[in-house]
Amino acid sequence: MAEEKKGLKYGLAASVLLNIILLAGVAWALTHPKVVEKPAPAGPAPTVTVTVTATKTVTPTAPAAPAGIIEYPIGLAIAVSGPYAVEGPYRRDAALLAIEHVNKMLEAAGSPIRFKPIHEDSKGTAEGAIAALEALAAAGVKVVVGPLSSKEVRAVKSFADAHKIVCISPSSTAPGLAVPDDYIFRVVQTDVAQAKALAQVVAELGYTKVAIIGRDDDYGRGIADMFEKLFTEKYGGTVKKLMYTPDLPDYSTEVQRLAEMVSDLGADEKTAVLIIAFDADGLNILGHARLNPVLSKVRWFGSESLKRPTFIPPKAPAEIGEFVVSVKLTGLFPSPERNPVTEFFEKEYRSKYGKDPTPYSYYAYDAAWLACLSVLAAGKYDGEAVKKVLPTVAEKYIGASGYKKLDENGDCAGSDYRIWTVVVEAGEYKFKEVGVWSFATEKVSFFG
Amino acid sequence: MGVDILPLVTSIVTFYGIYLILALSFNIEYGFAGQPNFGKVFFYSIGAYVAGNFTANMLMRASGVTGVDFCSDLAAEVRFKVAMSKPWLIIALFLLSLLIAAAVGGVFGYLTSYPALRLSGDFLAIVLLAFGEIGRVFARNYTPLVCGVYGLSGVPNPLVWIGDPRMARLAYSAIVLAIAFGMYLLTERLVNSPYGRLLKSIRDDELVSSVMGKVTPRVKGSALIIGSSMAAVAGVLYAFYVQTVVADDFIPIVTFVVVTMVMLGGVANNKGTLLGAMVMTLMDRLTRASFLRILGISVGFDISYVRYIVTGLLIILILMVKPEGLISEKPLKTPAIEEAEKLS
Amino acid sequence: MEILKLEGVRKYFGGVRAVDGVSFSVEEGALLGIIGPNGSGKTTLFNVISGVYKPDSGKIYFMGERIDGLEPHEVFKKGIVRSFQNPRLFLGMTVIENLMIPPRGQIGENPVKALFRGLWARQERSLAKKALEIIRAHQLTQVRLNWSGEVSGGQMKLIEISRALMGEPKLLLLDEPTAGVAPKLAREIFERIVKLRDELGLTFMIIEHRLDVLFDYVERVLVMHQGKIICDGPPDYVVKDERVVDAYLGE
Ligand SMILES: Nc1ncnc2c1ncn2[C@@H]1O[C@H](COP(=O)(O)OP(=O)(O)OP(=O)(O)O)[C@@H](O)[C@H]1O
Ligand SMILES: [Mg+2]
Repeated sequence: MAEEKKGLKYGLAASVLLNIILLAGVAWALTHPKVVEKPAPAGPAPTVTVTVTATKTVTPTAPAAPAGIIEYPIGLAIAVSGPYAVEGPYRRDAALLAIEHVNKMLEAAGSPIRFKPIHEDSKGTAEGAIAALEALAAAGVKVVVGPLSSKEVRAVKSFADAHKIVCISPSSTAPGLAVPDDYIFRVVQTDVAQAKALAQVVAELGYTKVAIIGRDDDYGRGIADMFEKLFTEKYGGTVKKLMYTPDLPDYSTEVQRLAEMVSDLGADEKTAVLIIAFDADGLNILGHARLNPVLSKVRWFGSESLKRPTFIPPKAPAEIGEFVVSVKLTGLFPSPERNPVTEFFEKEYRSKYGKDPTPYSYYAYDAAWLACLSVLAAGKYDGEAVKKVLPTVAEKYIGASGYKKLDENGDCAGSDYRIWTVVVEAGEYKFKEVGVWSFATEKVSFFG
Repeated sequence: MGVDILPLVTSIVTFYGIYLILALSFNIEYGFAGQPNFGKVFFYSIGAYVAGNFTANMLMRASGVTGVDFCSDLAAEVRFKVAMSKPWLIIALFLLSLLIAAAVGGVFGYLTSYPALRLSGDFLAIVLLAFGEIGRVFARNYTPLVCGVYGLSGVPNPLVWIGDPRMARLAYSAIVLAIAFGMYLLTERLVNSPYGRLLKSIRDDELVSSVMGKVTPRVKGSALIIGSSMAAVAGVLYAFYVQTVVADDFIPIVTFVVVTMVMLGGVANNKGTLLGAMVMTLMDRLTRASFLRILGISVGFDISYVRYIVTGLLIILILMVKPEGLISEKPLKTPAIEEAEKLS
Repeated sequence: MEILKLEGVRKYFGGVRAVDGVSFSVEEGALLGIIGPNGSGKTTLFNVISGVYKPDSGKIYFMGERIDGLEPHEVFKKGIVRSFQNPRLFLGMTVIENLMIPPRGQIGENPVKALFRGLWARQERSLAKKALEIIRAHQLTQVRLNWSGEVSGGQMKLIEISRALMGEPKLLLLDEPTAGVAPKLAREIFERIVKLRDELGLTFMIIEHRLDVLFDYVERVLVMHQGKIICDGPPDYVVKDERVVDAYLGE
């Protein structure tokens, strides 16, 4: 009996401990019904710093910030593990660069305000995303760049709304998440826009039959389903789809099936392949396809994720480079024409990180800029206020990824798409812009 | 900025509760019965699927709204509205989800115990690991279940009608903790008995157990049924907390976190499991950049990877110093031991 | 009445003829010794009887019923309990817990009933008392709460016998029960065996290398050599048999 009591004691001790944490939380919640809002400093020489007053109740040591400096945290809920182990760090770095640039601007202007990035790995899962947001919320963060994927955004949506935390996703594209008046903003066009432009470009180039090989995840399905719908309904074309499980080591059977699909479609001058892939899977598929006579014969199109240095030499093997040139791999990338911010961002990114930014890095950079600018425009570090000013700030902003006007749902209103293809110039492989799809007119025009 | 400890508290308490249940279930299967159920995440996902699919369908029905895509975010909004206006309905659905998931989890546990009757140790681990992955691939391709790759959202917190979402979350986390602690007490009762002894005999030497008259496949099966049923309950609690169910979230890493909790705390010891789950949960939450900031610590670099490495090293270190885990195995607290103790 | 009967039982391991066409029968209440040089097939014979191995051919009857091909737990249920030559204790348990495994019909082994202590505590206590009695008889009281791996080699053998006795056997197969046990205790154990046989009518088959002790207690001895029974009779008959002497010396 004594032993049994002891077991109970341990269990009780554990539960008591947790309940103390729980009660402490309740007590805190009751005594602090709302997070204390600090008025924005009115003059150029504020004497009270937000950080010191706010953290006083918890711990005497404040984050190391020079006297007189007001520090606002910007949460980066950006996955850098799991499905985003490779791509995530690119986007995080772009966001960090943006915050660095904002701080430089503020310093040069003699402003006491600085932004402090706090990164949390959201792991690309719902659980990871919610845990990241909870942690950021606890630290008093009200403005977050991220999460990346639509499913993560879904998972944090009700939490963000409840805690009045503004989330600016650089890459969530699911059309369903377009909800007006919430705390979720998205600075990239939804899949609808890309699929629409892509379907039109493919159709206008004279192709009537398309075999799709795409990742079976929310990204791949989003584009593939929308493309199929538009291409068949609007342009009367034929589509065959092959969605594959992401992250398999090898795709030779999938490529074999793709070749059969292409043969069924006729494998003629009216048949094309559309590939929607990320780095490892895309390279593997191209590697197998290059050896297949049927697949080497038809034109290839690709999602915007194919416009990565990974797919052309020197990063990719020379054979892959030859293949993508010979099948005239063509794709879209959302943007107006390149602007000076694009150039500036690319230069800075390269010089700081020694690597090229990936397509979505541009959006991460802009998301972080918008986050900071909106806090400045709101005049206070408060989610509700930031949410109110953000659409206006975005409307007046041109970033590395172009105009950022938002629609009534807080999503990127859409933009032009560049049409790119791969060329060899002076022995060097390059992505070359060959045309544009205009958002305003929904027209395709090719350069030269 | 204003520190707001509440979300951190709910986060720690809820995930502790959920993972404690998973860890206890793994402890029954592996710690006591010696069956390494590396398909843990599969049974966990079953609970989430049941909770998501059942609750979402029922709420759609109750809403009277038709012609809306079940998977759409509009449908999710509809479900939240219904849950807001009908407290008794969402609570009933929550409780029913728990019951159904426990039953369905148990049935799947029974079905998967079929290979367990024939395989041992490493083979079983691999088969169950593969089973979990097959389950995930099935769920991501079979959209009516939880909307495939997009995931199902709009599984409302059963206390959403409280109004203040922060309070609703906090209250829910208390429920999770209460259920988890109840599970702990039940597990203690279950194993401190001739049944627990029977499980250990199979773990220690299955052949001898069978020579001593035990129908070992049946007993192993029962442990897998119990463990799977518990894991499914954890899955329900998870779904109602995160309020979305995505098949692709149920990846093997979840199983390994659970395994680590049990190994760290000490196998065949539920107190160890309490501790192991606690240590792992706190290590995850309290090494984050956000938490360091609350403490006033500012690091000049991104600690995301560093903290994974440090956590990993710490676990390895603990297991090197104490290979049996933080709390080592003790004799079961049965009347037999009491009688033996009385002698002296 | 004959309790056990073997007819032409054979068990080969590849080319090794471990048990090579063995036939014999045992009367109920017998005390049967089995001897033979190392590797002569004694343990394999036990393994075949207890269901650990299926015989390649031949028939085994227990109380008139065929038992060859049955699972070990089914053989146990019929009433045959065995011990192991190299102790195979449940190392994650204490000594007393090891003894608590074999008892039949334990209510608390059902996972649902396990949750309700009231249903099985009384049964458990009475079984525990019986176990402690056996423990005392084998001079294991000191180590009853030790982990079963933390006792001496001789004590492990004693736990093996004690555990087998807890299985309420009709027929007990003991594989070298007194190896590593002090001579005095070894004799005490044999005296207990005789008593159990006399009082409860149990039947014993005992593999033993200590012929001096064994021959003082058993009435009949089987001698195995290269998988075959080469001699069968009372101890004083067996020791005089030429084949037996050859078998032992020839090794
Ligand atoms: N599982 C097995 N696989 C292969 N060979 C085996 C197996 N078990 C026993 N043998 C072989 O069968 C023969 C008989 O072995 P067994 O253990 O029955 O002899 P034993 O008479 O009990 O010997 P000892 O006196 O040394 O205990 C030996 O040659 C042994 O190597
Ligand atoms: Mg032997």
